[in-house]
Amino acid sequence: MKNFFKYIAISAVAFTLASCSKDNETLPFNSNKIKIGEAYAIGAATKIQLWADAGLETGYNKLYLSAIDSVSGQAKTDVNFNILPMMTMTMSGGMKMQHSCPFEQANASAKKDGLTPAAAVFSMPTTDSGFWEMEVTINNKKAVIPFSVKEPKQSRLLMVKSTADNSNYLVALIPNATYKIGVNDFELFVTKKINGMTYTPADDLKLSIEPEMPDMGHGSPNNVNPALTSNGHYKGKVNFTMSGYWKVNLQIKNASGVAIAEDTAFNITF
Amino acid sequence: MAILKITILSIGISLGAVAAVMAQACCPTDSVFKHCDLQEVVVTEKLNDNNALLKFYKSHKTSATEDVLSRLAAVNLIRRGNYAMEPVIRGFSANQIGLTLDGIKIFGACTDHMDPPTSYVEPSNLKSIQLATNGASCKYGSNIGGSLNLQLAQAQLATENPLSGMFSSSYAMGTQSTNNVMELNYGAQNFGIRLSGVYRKANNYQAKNQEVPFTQFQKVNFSVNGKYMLKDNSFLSLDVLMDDGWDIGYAALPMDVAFAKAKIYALSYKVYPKNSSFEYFEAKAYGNNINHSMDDTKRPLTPMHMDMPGTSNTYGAYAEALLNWNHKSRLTLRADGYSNMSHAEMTMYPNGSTPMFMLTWPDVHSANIGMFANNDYAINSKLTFSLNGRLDVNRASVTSALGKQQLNVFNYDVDAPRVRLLKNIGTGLSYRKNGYYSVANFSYAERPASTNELYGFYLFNAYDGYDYIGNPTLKNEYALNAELSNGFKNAWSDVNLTLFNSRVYNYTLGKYHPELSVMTIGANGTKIYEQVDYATLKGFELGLNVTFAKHLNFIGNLRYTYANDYSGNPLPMISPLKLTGSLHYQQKQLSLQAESIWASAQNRVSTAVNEKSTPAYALFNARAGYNFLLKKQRFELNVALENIFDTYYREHLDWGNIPRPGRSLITGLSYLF
Ligand SMILES: [Cu+2]
Ligand SMILES: [Cu+2]
Repeated sequence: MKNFFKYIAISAVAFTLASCSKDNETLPFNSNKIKIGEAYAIGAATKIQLWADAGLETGYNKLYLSAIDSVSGQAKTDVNFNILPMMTMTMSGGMKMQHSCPFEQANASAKKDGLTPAAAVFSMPTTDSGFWEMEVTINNKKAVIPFSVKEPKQSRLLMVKSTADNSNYLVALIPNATYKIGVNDFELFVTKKINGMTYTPADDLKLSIEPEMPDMGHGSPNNVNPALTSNGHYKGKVNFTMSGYWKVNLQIKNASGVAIAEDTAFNITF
Repeated sequence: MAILKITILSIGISLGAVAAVMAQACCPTDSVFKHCDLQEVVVTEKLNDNNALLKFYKSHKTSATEDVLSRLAAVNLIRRGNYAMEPVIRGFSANQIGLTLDGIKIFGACTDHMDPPTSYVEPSNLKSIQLATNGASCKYGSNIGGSLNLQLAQAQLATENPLSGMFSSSYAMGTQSTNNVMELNYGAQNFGIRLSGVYRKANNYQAKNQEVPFTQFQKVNFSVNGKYMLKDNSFLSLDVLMDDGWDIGYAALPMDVAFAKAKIYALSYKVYPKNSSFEYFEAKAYGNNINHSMDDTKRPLTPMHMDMPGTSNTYGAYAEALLNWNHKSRLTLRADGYSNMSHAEMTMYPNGSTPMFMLTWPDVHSANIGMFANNDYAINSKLTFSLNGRLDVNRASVTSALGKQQLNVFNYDVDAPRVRLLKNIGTGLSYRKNGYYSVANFSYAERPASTNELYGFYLFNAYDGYDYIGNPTLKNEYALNAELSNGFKNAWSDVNLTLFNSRVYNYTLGKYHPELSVMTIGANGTKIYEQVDYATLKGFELGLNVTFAKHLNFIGNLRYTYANDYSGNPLPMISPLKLTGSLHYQQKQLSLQAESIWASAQNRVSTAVNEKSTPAYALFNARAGYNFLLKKQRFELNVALENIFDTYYREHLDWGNIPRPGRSLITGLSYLF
């Protein structure tokens, strides 16, 4: 039995080497996505690939998944992915500790161009003492894809400790690649931390924003406060009257109208 | 264009021997229209002629355009620095009035009105300044408050001496300024070329022995006119004018100007057909390119450096004809069009942070096509009836995606162009008998909204200290104007009293919006252009020209405007009662002039724009000229003492509590040939 697995593994490596020059041709889609990493789901004869719009950064990241049959090299179309982002940290005493982060489970029904979307809010970057892996399960077989997360120039993630009930919220700004002078979409994904492995969408908050240019001390008119759309997503509009460095101040109130966070802000420079 | 009141002021020197019209009559004296009232002031200076009326308007050979304008009774000037003052006609300014250069439409490139079109033109470029109030003012474009058309000087053909000209140079001690003017004309039989050049340099001037910072400037102006006679009665004419100002202080504003440049050019064809009922036909194509850049690097208190460049490019054409239907009717027809692109931007540089950028004029395109007609009908030898009208299709649009996005912040939808029809109609009746004349004019007038009013984006107005936002939903501002002018003229006197009354509807002004944060550091707030029901402007102008003795002459005028909005609040920028008087003595080679300017206090101020009242003042100037021949060459020596008593004063339309120059001795020398 052991030999059998060894054989499979060797042939898989050989196949990978042989096919690596035509890797692109085996892609199930034409894409401008960046490949974050890939790994075999051991026992499923399937290679899982993890994609993203850009290099992964702390905060909210859209992710995409694809599966390739490791024998035929063909894309597999009817796969249900289950993701679980995990970080392993080595503490100062050498002790290891693991935790996850808020994420949005892969949604097969939203598959487009052969890619199944998912999302994750990485709560910290990859460091010397901590690394990220994505556990992707198909048909109870798991692939573990290592990847790295960088800290963006300007943070898109706020950790808020509620002054009302001591609970922790992660407020993630969904990146907008094209901030411009004028009216801009402003979307947040807010989750409440239950424990290191469990985060639930926070759907009962009242958010209001107030942009300002700290270098000049002015704001902008006619902003639209983010309102709940679904599952922790809040959508609004932020108006920038000029380009440069903006600070978008955020006020969060809980369902009973108590402010749970003030003096929180996202910095946006464009 | 007869009956309506037009003041024509010739300010150039007629070079050569071509007959300069000295007649004071408005219309050709042999025409049946001699009764018409143009209150025309033709004051063409000939080589060795010292005309009192010219001296009244143009007190120095090196006077600037604004010096001349300020002596017109209907014109006041908004002053932000010692440069580029902005004309106001009877309390109307900016887009409420028409400003053209020989029919050429020019839009300044500064969002803050630092460069009105008149600032790019020197008297040495000009033949005359035509001021039109009431209905006839719409000849060159829709406006509600009157118009100024600066007529370019043209080359003289077939002159006595092929080459003629003038050099004039003056130095003012108090203002530490030097002004140098050159005019040259070469006139061949069927070809002529005229050159003019001006160089001015002023350092900071003094007021009450105190230096007034940021009143310096430098400028060079150069113009060429080439005129070619195709046939006896048809001409091709090419004009090129370049004006370049730099290092210009604007004492009343938080920043100065690094440069202000204009290139203006036009090609025209004019024919006077023989044996035809057309008196003339003219067609012209033109263009102008204006470049403006503000400069805050010399201001010690600038909280943050910013660059604010602007450009304005205009191209246009017109055709005009004067038709004598019969001996009783004259019809002026004009069709014109222009297209303008205005762009202005601002980049701010915070210390150690990211530069910040915005468009202050979001790539605005303005286009206009219009038709004008005026008919004068001589009812009998005393009475003339006149009717005129103008129709414009005016289109404004934001052309860049960035510009549109910016304005979306204010929920403005500017995807579609803004098209408006502008209607102007005027009528007048004039009566003239035995030197007495009386003219009544009525008009309905509409004007286009300005780029600032429609699309301006956080334009700081240093006068009231507010940022201004445009409003593309503005309605047409329109006015009902009435004007009554009575006068008497004989061989030794000319008296005229004009009363005017205008009611402006949809009067446009900035309304404070406390919910909007300011862009400009330290601004009082943000205003959006909105419109109020109406405003009224009324007043009078009194003109007097008396010859006491053969060599002694008094010319003066008195002006007053009273202006309110619909609820009785005074309008801003309204001149108080102001008297300008000049006594002129001329004998042989010597001319003497004593001038006094007096203005009452203006305490009717607009609190809405934080306007301050202005105290009264009296100003006295004395000037002397002596012309002589030296080795058969003609020279003229001029000495003037301006502000003799070193009065510390400012006019009500001067911004920012900045005093005018104190006492100054000016000496000048001219060489004429
Ligand atoms: Cu700003
Ligand atoms: Cu400017």
